[in-house]
Amino acid sequence: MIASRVAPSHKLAWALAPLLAFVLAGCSAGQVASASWPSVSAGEDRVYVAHGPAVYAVDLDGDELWRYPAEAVRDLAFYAAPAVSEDGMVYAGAYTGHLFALSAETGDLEWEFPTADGADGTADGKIVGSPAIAGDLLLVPTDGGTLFFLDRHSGETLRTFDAVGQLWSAPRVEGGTAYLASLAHTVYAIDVATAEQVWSTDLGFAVADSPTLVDGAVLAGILGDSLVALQANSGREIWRAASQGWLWGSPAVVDGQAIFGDVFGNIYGLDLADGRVLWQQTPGEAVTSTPVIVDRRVVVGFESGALIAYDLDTQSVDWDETADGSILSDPVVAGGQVIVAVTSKDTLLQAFDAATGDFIWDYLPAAGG
Amino acid sequence: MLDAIWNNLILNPMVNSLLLIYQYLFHNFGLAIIVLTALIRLITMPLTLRQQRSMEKMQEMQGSKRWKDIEKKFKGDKPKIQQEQMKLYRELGVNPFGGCLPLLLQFPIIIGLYQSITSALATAPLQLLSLSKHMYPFIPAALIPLNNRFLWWDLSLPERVVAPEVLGFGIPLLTILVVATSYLQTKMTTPPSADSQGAQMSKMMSLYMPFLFGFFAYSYAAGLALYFVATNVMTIAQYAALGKVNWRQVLSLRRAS
Repeated sequence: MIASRVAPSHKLAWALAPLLAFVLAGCSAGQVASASWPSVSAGEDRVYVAHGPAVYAVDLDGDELWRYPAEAVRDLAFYAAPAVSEDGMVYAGAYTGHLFALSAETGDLEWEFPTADGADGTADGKIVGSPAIAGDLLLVPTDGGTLFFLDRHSGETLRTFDAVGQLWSAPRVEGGTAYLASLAHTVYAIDVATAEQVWSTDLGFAVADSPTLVDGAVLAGILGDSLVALQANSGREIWRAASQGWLWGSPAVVDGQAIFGDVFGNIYGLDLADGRVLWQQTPGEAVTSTPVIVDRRVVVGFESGALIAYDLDTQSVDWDETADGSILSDPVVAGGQVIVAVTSKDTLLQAFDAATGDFIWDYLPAAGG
Repeated sequence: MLDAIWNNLILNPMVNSLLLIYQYLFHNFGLAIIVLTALIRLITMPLTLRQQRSMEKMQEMQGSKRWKDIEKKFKGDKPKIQQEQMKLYRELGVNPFGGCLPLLLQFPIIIGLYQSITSALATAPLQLLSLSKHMYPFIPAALIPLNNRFLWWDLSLPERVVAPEVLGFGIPLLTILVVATSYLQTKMTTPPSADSQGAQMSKMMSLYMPFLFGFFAYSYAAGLALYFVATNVMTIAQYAALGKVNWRQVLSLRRAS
């Protein structure tokens, strides 16, 4: 008689094992789908948003122009904001290890490049950071630490640079040098022509976002309570300004100031010359993105969904709106609108009037793509 | 609300313990998992011992003459047998569910540990953002990102098989270790049963559980598999130290049944 012979604890094990399987599956299910957040970039008359299974082109009225791929493809996921070229191309990196070159007009695929090497589909080729355009080159950072230099017209690999650590942000290119941040605490300067390292500097903390280049300096926000300024030509540290919380985003630069927010909800305006705090606001809501400058305002997106425009002359709040979900990626400006990608089930993009903050439109992809 | 309770009671202490151990243990996340496993076993040791005692008592009782007499006397009358057996449980002070609590504790620990491993390794932006919210202020941010390598494994990913280029096929070594140690551990902790149905179920358990955990090990982050191996080895060592290993039962399926 089973009921009397088997210890209740073992019967319980039988019953709970599938439950454990279910819960663990729940822990890991959709890892691709929930690895990052949607990101948006601006073209002349449209924006491009990378979100989960597709990249969407949306006009400035909130109407979808195209999506790539047109039909959903299993295990394909996009998070990095696409790079947009002036000659009508969009370069979209997939978290699943592919770089797609698309026509900005139609969304047609021109070429694709697999960044994941190895037959086992290793994770190293995941694209988290956006590609960067440098003339005829496309610089593609990967999670495995490889920076690919591709011919952006053909997709041919011209050279590579191997950094230490994960690359989660786009390199910034200026004067033939690419400045690249690594999660392994390092900022690199790389000669674009040769892919040789010019210098590297260990900042002591992870750097998640792209460096900002200004007046011979490289500014990097670190996941360790500081904004660091380095000399662009040598990598030597110029100053390090303390913040209260981690810096996920980069600073926006205007009027000799670096303006940025931290995860404790502080907004800082620093003097670029010496890192001195010129002004500080504390709305108290986490910032993970880079502010955007429009007219005489700096607009900051918050994890809570708040979108606040500060007057650059008075540092007071000019307008204050709330999106219908978290704003984790950088807002962009197009056609007098501030457009944000929103982490929400109900909407993906929301547009606000840059001057007044009035809500204009939102966009949620129709199912079936 | 439930999230906050889970985070404050289980996830945050585990994540921060892992980070703290990692900080002082050569920045080796594999060692951090093993040490945390040992600490968890140490903390739950009183419960484990209680479960063992409870199982021994039950085994002793089920082999007793009085138990067999009940079965003989009320043969065919299942409710009466159960009623009399419950009386016997009460009389001898045996709790039929005494072995359940440690088992129940094991499940949130496995789930919490799995979440803390994936959270601490933070291989994607959302995970890292989430980790920053779980970290206690005294944990240095400079630890991030953690070194996710241990021997030849990437602990943040499901196990990659060993040496496919050498052998022409891969060997899921960690999964094999999980299955083998789970089998040994289940055989040691499952008491022999006197009747054929009970024995059959014990036999099924000793096969089913190792393969279930092997499936977990193969499918989820290798850090979880490392935890399974560590906890199994520690259980086996603990049983051996207490002199409770019946090697004949462990090594022979036939005799076990």
